[in-house]
Amino acid sequence: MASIRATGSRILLAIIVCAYAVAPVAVAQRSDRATELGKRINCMCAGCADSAGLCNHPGASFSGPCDVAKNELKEVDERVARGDSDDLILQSFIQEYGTEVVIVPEAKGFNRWMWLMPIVFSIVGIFVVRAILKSWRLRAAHVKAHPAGVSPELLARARHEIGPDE
Amino acid sequence: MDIFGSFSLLLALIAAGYAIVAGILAIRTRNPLLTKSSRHAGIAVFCLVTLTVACLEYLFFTDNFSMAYVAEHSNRDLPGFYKFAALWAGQEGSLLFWSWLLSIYAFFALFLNRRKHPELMPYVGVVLACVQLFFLTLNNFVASPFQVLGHAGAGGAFTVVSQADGHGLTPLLQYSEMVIHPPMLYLGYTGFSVPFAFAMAALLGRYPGEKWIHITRRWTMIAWVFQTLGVLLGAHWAYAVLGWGGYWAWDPVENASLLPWITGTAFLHSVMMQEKRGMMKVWNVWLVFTTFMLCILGTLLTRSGIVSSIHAFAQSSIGTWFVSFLAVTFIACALAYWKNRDYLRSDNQLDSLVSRESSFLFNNLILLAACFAVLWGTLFPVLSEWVQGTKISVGPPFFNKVNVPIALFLILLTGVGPLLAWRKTSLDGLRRNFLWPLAGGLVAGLIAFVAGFRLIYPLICLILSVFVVLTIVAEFWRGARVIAARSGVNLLAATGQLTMRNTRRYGGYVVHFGMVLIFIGIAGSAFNRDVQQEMPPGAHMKLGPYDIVSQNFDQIQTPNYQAERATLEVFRDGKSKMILYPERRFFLASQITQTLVGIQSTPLRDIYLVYDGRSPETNRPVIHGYLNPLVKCIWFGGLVVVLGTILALIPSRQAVMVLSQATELAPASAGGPVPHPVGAIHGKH
Repeated sequence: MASIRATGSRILLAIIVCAYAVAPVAVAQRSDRATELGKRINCMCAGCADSAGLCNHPGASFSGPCDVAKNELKEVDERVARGDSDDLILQSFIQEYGTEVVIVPEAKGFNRWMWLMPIVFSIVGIFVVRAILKSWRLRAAHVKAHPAGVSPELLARARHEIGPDE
Repeated sequence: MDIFGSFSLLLALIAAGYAIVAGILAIRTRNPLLTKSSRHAGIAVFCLVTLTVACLEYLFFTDNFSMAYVAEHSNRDLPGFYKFAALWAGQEGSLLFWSWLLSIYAFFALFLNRRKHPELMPYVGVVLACVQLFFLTLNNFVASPFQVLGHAGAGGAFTVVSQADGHGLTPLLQYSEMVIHPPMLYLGYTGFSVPFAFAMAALLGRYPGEKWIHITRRWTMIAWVFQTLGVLLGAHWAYAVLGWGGYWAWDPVENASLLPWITGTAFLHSVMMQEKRGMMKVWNVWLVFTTFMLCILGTLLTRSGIVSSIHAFAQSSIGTWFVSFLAVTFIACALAYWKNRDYLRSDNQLDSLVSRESSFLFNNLILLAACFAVLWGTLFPVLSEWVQGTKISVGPPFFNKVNVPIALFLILLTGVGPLLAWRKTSLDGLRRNFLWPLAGGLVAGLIAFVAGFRLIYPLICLILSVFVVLTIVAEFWRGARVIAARSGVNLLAATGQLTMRNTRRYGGYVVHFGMVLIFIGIAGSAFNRDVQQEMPPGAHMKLGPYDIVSQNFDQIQTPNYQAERATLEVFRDGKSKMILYPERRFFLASQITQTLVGIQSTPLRDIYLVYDGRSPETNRPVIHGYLNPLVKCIWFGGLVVVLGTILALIPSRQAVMVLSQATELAPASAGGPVPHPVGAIHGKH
């Protein structure tokens, strides 16, 4: 029983770690690599909170992508045509605009903790829940070993009167 | 009227202060007159704040543009409906609105319990008054809505200046949903103050038993359903008004509204453990404390602009006040818990891991993991700037990647949890309850896979959703079948009787069904498509199986705005299906442009057309078309959640088995009609 529990815990842990490693949910409807990269960099116009690829200005005279977003996408196009890798393109944008330009920062240095903490929380939470369940079961075992002075007939009657569980 | 309004606001502050002092004295001396006096002071706060709100509304409706707040958020041509809503258009009015809704909750909590729970209510009154005191302090001294426009003249005299007309309400708020969304959300935020007050009161007063849980359960559900409505209305507004094709951007203020909803959901589930088994007392107390503190944090994030957001009104000093209040609240909760922790000791026992108790624990863990992930991602930019000195942004890819697996676990537990028995579930029970729903889910997944849906997360979501729906249907079927067999009514009537016998349980199933619909709708976003192109009259746009043809662009003039409207005809397989009219409005008073989206919505998909305006390069009209599958499931699911909650709030009808002797003619036999007794179920409240 203990080994089954341990195996179950390991499987659950593995599922959690794998779940975070699987690719993001959102599917890229546009096959254009530049458009996809455009969704990974922020529009730096300070008037929208969107990526360059999804730039939208609802209150402006033109709601579509602003000039800043268009210039960023043009720059991405040029770098893609030059054969630069995604990482190199993102790095060049960071050098030009600062770390705020990427929608999600790289998992390096302190920023690594952005990704790690939810996993750490989940794992710690599982151990906490496991400890709580274990303490509850130990207490139940203790009560079973030292039952209260209640006759089986009274217990059965009480259970019947309580009725079905909700 | 402005002087009258400010004065009543000040009196409300004094009344809140008196309610605290009288309440504390009442607790120490056990003097019933002081208890009554404190309660009356709490009720007086409600009357005075209501008077204040009425004064401000009067100023709006009389177009008193000598008031800064009125001039900023209203104008003469603003329709009356929006003049009323302008109360919560800006920071000062929003905070007053917060105080008012809180005072309404406090009034009902105090009034409805005026003859009940005499040991508990003085503490409740004091806690609620403390929260009111904080917000009334802000209303009076930090963000007063009664500031007058003017300047100091010669000799130091203040000269009032009245503008000819106001700036008008922000066009983004001139939409019926935006009138309803803030009140719903604020009713959620303020509503959680009541269970917080009762939890704190039970702890401080060492109130025996689980009675405080029973008292606050309905209050918590009411606050929760308002929070749900607020979040969904906000999402629908973002979808229908902002015109970016989506409904949730993981904006800091959106996240702030989600956080207390998540912990409130966890609390609503884990209280059942305390009610049924007397377990998880410490957990529940801290869960309700955390929910309340997240409401304050949410207000802090919205008002202070500490994390930049399209919602945040402005960077202001009000953040310091909220941080201080949050710190004081945390310290008070920690002290109250530390001093009275032995009162929370419970006899926790678990017979089996395969039990409802375990599933509730895991349910809470998953919800708290989601809450932590959202909170962490929202505040990480602030933390990073503090630690590294560099600004970063945390966008939707982080939140989606982290929360989607969590959501899938949650859907799984939504199906598994209710079918596990308390204490222990047998293997037979497991097999009976889960085999066919699981098989149904897997079959649905297989069909979808064969049909070409290969994205892993939406596929898992589909399997789990079908599993959950089948478990819910099975629960209703099992119970209704028994009632139908016993009482001879049809299955539909039997389902109604079954539901009314235990509205909490079956209302909960309806809520779960609504949540599944919402998750299905969200999963549909993985299949969204969009096209953006110039569309002068006669131009065509291909959007999935649809052909969009630009017919016309015309101008509209009203006293409030000027508009340009596009007429776009949608064809499929050569046949005209509909005409949509996306529009751009330019509001004259505020000089702001707003987009009105053309949406045609069916359960399977939305056609969503936005008129972006004229291209700066070519001056030709640009249309952005979206094809969004399953979005309607989200709104319909939200409606089901609300209906399920209302159902759960209705008191159950207890079945009383009445064996009545009734003569009934049996089918003709050799001996003629044979009378036999029948058992009948009669309902009683």
